[in-house]
Amino acid sequence: MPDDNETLLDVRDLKTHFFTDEGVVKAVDGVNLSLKRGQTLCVVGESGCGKSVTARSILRIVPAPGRIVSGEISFRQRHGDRIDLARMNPRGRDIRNIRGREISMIFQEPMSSLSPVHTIGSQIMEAILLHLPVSKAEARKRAVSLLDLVAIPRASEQLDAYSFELSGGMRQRAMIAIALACEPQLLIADEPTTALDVTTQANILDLIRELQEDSGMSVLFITHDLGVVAEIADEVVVMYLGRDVESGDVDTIFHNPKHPYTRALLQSIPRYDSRAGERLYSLKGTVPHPFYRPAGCPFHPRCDDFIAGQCNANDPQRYNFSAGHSVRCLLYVADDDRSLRDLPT
Amino acid sequence: MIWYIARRIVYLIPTLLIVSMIAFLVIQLPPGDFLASLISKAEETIDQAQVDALRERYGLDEPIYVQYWKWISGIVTRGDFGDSFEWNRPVSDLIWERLGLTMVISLFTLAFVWIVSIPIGIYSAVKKYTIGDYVVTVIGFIGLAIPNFLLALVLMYIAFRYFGQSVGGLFSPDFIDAPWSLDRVLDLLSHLWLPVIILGTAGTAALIRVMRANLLDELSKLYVDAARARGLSELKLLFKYPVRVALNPLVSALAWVFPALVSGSAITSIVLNLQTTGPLLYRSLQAQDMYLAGSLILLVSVLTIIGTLVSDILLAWLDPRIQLQ
Repeated sequence: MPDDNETLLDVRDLKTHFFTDEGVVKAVDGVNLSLKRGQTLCVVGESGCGKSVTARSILRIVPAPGRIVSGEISFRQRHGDRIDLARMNPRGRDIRNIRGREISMIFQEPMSSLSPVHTIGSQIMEAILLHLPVSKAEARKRAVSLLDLVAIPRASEQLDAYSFELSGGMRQRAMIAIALACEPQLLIADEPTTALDVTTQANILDLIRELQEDSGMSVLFITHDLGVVAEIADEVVVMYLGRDVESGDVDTIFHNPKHPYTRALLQSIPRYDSRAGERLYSLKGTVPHPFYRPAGCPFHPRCDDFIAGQCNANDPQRYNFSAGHSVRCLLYVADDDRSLRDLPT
Repeated sequence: MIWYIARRIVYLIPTLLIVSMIAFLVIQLPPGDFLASLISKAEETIDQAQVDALRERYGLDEPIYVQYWKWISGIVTRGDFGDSFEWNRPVSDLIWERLGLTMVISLFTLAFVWIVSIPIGIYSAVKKYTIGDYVVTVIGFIGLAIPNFLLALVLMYIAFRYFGQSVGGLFSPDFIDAPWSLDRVLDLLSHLWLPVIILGTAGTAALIRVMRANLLDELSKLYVDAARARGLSELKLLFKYPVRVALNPLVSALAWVFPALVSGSAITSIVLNLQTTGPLLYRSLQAQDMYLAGSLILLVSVLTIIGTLVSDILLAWLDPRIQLQ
């Protein structure tokens, strides 16, 4: 476990597998990430790479038949103690005191993450009353000020509104208000803007950033949108098939990417200066079926720099380029004598 | 909300009118009439003059719309449902007590079905694919598959053989014709459990399956995860969110419960010798006793419509999404 005070969340070699009747799906199979106080960490990857399962593993709300098989989720509580969330009973009181109080989460679809038959206010007040020693009247007052905080107009009226009476953007604001009800240290945002249109998306991102500046909370942001990453991230973790393939600060990832997958992702962003008729770069192949995980480096069948006999045989270990910049790729590890190969430029 | 209810009540009027016409039309459809079947069954030949007198009295030779008008205006203005040919008594004498008893049995059965099946359905959904779920499912399907009248015979045997209870009917012999008193009510209650269990078994089995399916749909919804992520305990979470939403379809099913209880359990009621409307309707249809049959069909239809109204209002109250649509 890290012992510095600045690291709020440190995930080491987390493995979350789903034990289905057809076989074991290794949705998360060795993820490492680390998040400092007050910073924003973006987890990026294609659909099915295990981003959401990683996020849910932290809060211990992985749906059955999934469960954490190994790894460590070290979290520094408000009063300074470090605890390992991975070892907690997912139905126990201890993890419930973390959920909503220390770590909150907002989800991809604001419509379905709010109850269809309860008012916005009742759900905010529920979160407040669960964790803070306040009366119902105080909770209601706090709920109104939370709706004000997330810039929902006519807050005291909207408190009694149902989710279907609000627009998509307003719903996500309401979700954020619920998440912030007890001033958590960490906000996990699982693709919170994916279901929204671009303008609303920008507003929500601005809101999250403002709230973060005011409160000093950390944000774990799950997304597949590299544009969003460039806008809000301090640190980035790129995931592929349940693993972190590259992690580093946002400048390094965008300007000096080392892993072929990261490079391919960046190349597939459409550019303003591309000429008419020029073909958009696209990654070859598709994400493999979860039951047929390629041996060796799981990315090798799609990789442009594939080394036969190496990549399909050996499992790449994490290699640190510099402090905070690590890559899992055999290009950077020696064949036999484990000395560095020539770095491709 | 008040406007919603008022609007729904106004819609009732044309529906009731049409339903009453159809009810009357239906009982006129089979060839012949009560007098024809009376003549065919009679062992001695009946005096033609006597037949003509009856025909005259009930207006059987007049066009159907005149008959309908006589019938419906009597009901609406005087509460007069006409006379039963077969019993030779006013229909209203025959049906009200039976209707009262039917209501009592229905409400007890409904309560029994809900009290038993909702908790079992919740258990079955939360513990899906466990041994407990499979056991409940098997019992549920057996309950669905056994015909009610067979269950009635078996339970009647058990009640008579091992509990020494007088079976059949809703009262002990001493109380059948007694005036209403506290003792008679207690006697009724002591006889009620048998028909309630028998009439409720199939409904319970079906409702367990419905509740289980509804809840399974809701349990995987994102709002459940979101509530869990706020730190709510599993039990509170379950009852506040998914169970609450999963109950809504059951409320809308209330609409069918009323008519089914009045007319649906005729065979079981005959086996159990219950003084309810089911057997009465069955016999009146066989005998072409048109005013009795028509009144019962009309009442069943009215109960259906009222049941629908009640369930719609309940649903609008339970589910805030309804009023907007």
